[in-house]
Amino acid sequence: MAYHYVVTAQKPTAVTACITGNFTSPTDLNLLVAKVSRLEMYLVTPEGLRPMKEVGLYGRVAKMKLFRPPYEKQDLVFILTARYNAMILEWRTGANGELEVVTRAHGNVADRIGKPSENGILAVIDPQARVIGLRLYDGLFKIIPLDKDSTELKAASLRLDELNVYDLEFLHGCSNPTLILIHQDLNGRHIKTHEINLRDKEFIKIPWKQDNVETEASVLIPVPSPLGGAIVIGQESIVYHDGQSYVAVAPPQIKLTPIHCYCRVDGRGLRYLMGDIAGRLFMLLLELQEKMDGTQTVKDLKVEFLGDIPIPECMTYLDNGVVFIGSRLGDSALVRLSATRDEASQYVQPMETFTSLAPILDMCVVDLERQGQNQLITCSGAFKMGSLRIIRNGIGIQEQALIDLPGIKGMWALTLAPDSNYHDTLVLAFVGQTRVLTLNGEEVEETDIRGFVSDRQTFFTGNVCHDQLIQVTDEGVRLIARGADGSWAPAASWALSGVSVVACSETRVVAAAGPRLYLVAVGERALTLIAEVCMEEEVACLDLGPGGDTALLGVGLWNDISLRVLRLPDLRPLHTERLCGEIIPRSLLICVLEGVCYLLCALGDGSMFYFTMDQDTGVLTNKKKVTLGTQPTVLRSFRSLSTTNIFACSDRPTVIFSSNHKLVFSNVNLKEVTHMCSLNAQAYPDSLALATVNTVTIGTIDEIQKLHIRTVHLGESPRRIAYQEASQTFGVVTMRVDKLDVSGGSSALAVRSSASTSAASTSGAAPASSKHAPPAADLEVHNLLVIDQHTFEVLHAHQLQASEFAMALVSCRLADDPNHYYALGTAIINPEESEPKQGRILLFHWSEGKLTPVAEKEIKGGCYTLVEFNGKLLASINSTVRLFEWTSEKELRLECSHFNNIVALYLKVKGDFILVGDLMRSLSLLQYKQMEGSFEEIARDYSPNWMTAVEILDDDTFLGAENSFNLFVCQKDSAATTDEERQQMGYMGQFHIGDMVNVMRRGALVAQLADTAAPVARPVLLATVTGAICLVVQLTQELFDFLHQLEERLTHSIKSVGKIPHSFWRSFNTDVKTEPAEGFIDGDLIESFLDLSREMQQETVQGLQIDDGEGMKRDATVEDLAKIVEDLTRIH
Amino acid sequence: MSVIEFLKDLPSYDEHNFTLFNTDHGIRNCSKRPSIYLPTKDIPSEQIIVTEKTNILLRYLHQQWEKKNNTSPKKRDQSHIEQNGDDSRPRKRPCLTSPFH
Repeated sequence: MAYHYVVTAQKPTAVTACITGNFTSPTDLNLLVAKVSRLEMYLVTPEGLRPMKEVGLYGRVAKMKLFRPPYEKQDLVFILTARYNAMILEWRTGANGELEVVTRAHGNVADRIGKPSENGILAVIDPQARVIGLRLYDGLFKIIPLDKDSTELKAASLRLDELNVYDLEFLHGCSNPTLILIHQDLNGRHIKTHEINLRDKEFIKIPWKQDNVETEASVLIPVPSPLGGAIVIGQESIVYHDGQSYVAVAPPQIKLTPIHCYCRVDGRGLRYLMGDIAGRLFMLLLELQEKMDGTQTVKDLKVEFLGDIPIPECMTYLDNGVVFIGSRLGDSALVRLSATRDEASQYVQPMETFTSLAPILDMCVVDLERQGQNQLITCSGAFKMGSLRIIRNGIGIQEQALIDLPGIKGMWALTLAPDSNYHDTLVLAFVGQTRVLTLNGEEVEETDIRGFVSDRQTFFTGNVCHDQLIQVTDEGVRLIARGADGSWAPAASWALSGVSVVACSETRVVAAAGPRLYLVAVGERALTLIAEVCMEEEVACLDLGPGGDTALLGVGLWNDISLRVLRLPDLRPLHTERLCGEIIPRSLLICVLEGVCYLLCALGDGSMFYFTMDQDTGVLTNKKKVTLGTQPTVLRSFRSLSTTNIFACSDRPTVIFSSNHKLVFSNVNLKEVTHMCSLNAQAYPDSLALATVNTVTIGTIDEIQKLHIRTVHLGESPRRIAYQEASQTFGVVTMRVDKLDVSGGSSALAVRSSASTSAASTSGAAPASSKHAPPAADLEVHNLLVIDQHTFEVLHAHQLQASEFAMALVSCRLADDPNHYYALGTAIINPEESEPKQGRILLFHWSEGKLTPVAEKEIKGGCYTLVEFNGKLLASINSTVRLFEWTSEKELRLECSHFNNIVALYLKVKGDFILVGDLMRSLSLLQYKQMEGSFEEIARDYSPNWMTAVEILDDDTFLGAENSFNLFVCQKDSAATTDEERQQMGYMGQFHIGDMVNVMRRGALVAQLADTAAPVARPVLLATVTGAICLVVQLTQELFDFLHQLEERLTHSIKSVGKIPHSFWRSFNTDVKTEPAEGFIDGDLIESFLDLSREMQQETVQGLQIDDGEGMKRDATVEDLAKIVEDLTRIH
Repeated sequence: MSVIEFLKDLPSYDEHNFTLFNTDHGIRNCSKRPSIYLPTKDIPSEQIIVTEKTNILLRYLHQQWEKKNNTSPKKRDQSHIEQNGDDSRPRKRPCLTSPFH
């Protein structure tokens, strides 16, 4: 049996719908954004969009519409999921002032029979909120009359004569709800209206219709009263029709690309924004004229091109000319419309971008910085929004300045200028000396401060009360004050020999010499000893908590390896905590994060204990241990963007921050940090100074987040990526769309500058029109790009012939040949053929800045995948799997083939085994017989699964993703008694992941060695069409059973918004079967345990049994569970 | 017509919105995420959406049958009286788009 855990590391980023309305109160203006199965609510404010709440749904949002019944003061949302769960949601402020989402109505509107429409689900709501209309199945129209007083909303199906409906809407200003639709029959596309009788649930008449509108008409815009009627948008023309008269225009601007989405700008419905599939924004304006009777009618339609925007999926007008553009193909954006043009002659100015990885077509997992930490490089976005994204778990430091200074032992920032809020001085401690650096603008100079000891190592320095400086060395404490002339001079000192560690606040210094602790008060030009105690052992580290004169003091001791909590002013012992083990505590920090006081203690081996500390009693609870690095760690707190965070300096620097009241550990993109301090200088605001072995780096820190995403814009669609360590490059297959030169006839022109057209060098075919392609305006041009792994600069672009599509790419080393090659598999596309009949496998060698073609092999079909396999090249070509060997003459020679697939789309290998993912025949496993030089099919899954990605988990277990958004695990049964049984793979798990997985790669985003205390194995990363990144890991049966119980309890504790049961959402669902999920734990649900309130956690834990480590069961506590779940959150 | 015509007097709900939006440092990247809403309180739905289980053809036949019964001579008197008693109610008309037309 196999047990798996699936969790989302990066939530979907593609925007699928957006609406503006008054959702959270009658006066709030909100933006509601749907990202596949998540809803994000924003508030429109003078500063921009303010995030309010994110809600997860147990379903993919197919349609999201706003409506307001006449009796409501604020807008409601109607949502229909892809599995036909309908819901009406309301956002309201609950008793505790927290925003809550109320499911006003819910239910499943699926029919048992019916052919789901190929044009997708359409949902419309009557402008007077009398009825919701749904087109789910061909030939049927479902209505949900919105009856306020009934506890049941009775949905009923009406027969719709029009089978092929492209768009439908409700018309405004009709006494009965009246539908308008675009439909197609043999003669063309037509528009038609239907009046609905809600009481009898039937169509009563056709008020008007218009046959033969434009053949590509696909978008309907209903126009509000008093005008009424509707606008029909086609590929070339725009028509306004109100039943009596119509106005048609054919603006030349819109002819190039189809209009894809629109939003209404003003309430009267005179202006609309329209976005096309090339990412251009237009405005449509209805020009009116007055009729004889004083009413107004549409005289003309005007269209104006406003500028470039992200390729839109949806858009919505917010306020004061600001528009939100939601995209599925790249970053979404907030843009401002302005009547004045910018330099690029656009009337649209971008304001803010919302990072999106969607769609991820391919990715590779590499350890670029050789820190044992993987990065993901994804092929993201499409067309002009194509990019590579470098995704790393952790936080980035953006370097601002670098000073070469080896041997730093400590570092502090000071403010010397009077009445300044900025740091202007950096004090650096070395063995036996201290140096002072002045930050003068961006310049750094060495200087002296009078009264400052420079021939000793400073243990601490800082600004303290009464505008004084304090310096602690091994000789004692010195106070330096500003004289009448403003210059610094020594003011007081308190001698103590053998100071080893010190902690300091504004008014108090605690110094330790051996086992003795001294508490000294800092006064104006005075230092006074307040208390002195002797500990049992020598003091190893200490820190003062907040609280001024009665603060808590944390002390770590040598030899007995214990932590003590003392209370000022009399240094009264409050609490003793023995740490197990023999490693000495080296750094201690008391810190309040999100209102919770923590005591953290790092040990000499790079591990760290942390506790929550009761600020009244000093009691330490919730003991936890993590491993941060392998060297002694120094803990420092710092402020970044008004939140306090902790920096752990070690060989694996880590930033610790609090998120939802739990500590999150995030790696930093630096190799080794020995010391650090916060620095807020005028030239370097909100920065950090970081000391490494040889340098001081001043830099800013990224906003705290777990996954760090960097973007390399390509301006064309990336399709495949491969990493070649030997040449320190990435190979990337891209596609760009060139426009055929209309006047010249044969030559194609690049539409814009993009990665392949602006590469440092180029080779391959010159742009030319294809022999086979019909005379289309667009031409797809495929390139192989060679990209530097450090700079991500495009070093070379190799262009393929016209009509040759690059399909597969791998970096490989073949046979005894020492070189590493990029192998590129192509297909030659002839539109008249149902599948490619020809293709090539090309081998390139990149060295010394040159791309050399090494070999070329003609193949009879398209090459979908290439894999290096036992020093040979394995390819899937149409329905076959073929193995090519590399001869000493540097030629590819076919060794053996396997034919038993429809289209062999995906290949994964392990040892002699090959896993094949078929277009529609699920998975099969081949074994390569080295001696015979042949393939043998050993096992197969006989279910009709349409595969989108496959991966080998272990020798017997295989993971597959199919196109109805499900995951499944198959296992081969080598121990079965009959051949027939062995031939058949058994199902070991199935799960609805709710997203289309495009690629699977073995590997994880966090280093395996340290922080993963969770017993998980064989991580596989999944990337999806909507930009999500998920992780699948194997669990032990014990952990699986335990988490399964927790999952079951959580489904009761956490109420589903929209009342869709969790079991329904996660059940394996295709158009042929629906079966309950099994063999998988829903990690997203498990992790939400940590976000529950303490009471709810307690309730959830009730009665759950846990193994106490000796095979005995006992009742689990909240702490037990929190530890298990927190460990699980650290695997991604 | 100039673009000014298109872009003048863009609708404003609150004239202050977006006025303090700072674009001095170029295009901003939104990295703030909304906090997650995790409902633990069971708020019952006011309304349940149910799908009519009757087959669409059966419903049509029922409707036809009722209409036929209503117009049959036996019932005519009865319905006639009812009709007289309630003049405002319009007479039911046959469905124009019924599947058998």
